[in-house]
Amino acid sequence: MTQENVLYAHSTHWVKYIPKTAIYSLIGFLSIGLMLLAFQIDATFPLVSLALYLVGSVLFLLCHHLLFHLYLSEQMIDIIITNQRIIYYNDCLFTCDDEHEIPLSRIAGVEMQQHGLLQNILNYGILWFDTGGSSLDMKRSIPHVAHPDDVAEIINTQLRL
Amino acid sequence: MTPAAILAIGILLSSALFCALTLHEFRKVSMRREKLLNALGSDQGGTVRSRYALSVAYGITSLLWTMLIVVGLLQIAS
Repeated sequence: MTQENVLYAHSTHWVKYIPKTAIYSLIGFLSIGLMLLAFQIDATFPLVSLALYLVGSVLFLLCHHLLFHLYLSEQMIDIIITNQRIIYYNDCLFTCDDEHEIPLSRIAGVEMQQHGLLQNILNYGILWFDTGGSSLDMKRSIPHVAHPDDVAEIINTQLRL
Repeated sequence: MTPAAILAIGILLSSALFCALTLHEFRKVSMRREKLLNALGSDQGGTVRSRYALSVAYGITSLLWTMLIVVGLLQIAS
């Protein structure tokens, strides 16, 4: 039996951070606004000011923790391709810890999908593995793969050996 | 102890607790991943460095924001 070696080990494309980062940043700036407003009206409406400050600070801290939770969850290497198998992790700290493993011997072909302007400009896409099933099973696909053509080439080269 | 001080302690403790739990979980999961990659003969020097950098950044910013917010709360309440 041949020794198992890593051919490719990377994290998925950074575009995965954008939607949640935008939402958390927006709420974060809004909460900073609430806290500043609380300081402005402190002399005239002390109770309202305290309530506003509390809401703002809790929202801000929540956004800060959720943002780092996202970065820590997504920063890890989640695509590993060896000369024997493909391992893909889908994890989110505390809530999800999925591991998908496909032996190369079961793969008949690899398809790369890059749809839309953003995916083509930023060069990321979906890798789908044909394992002989009749339908397009999305469990056999990896989203947000950076440079999917290069990754598909690595797998195809290995399949041809 | 004033209600504002109790709230401040509550915010401080819950923020620190969430930070510590997240860092612990992150360390557990990333160590498992590194162990697998090391077993497969892949060098993980860069990943380990970025893991530490991210953990330290999270710890420091959490402490900083929480302290600032607590100081602001005590100032508004006084």
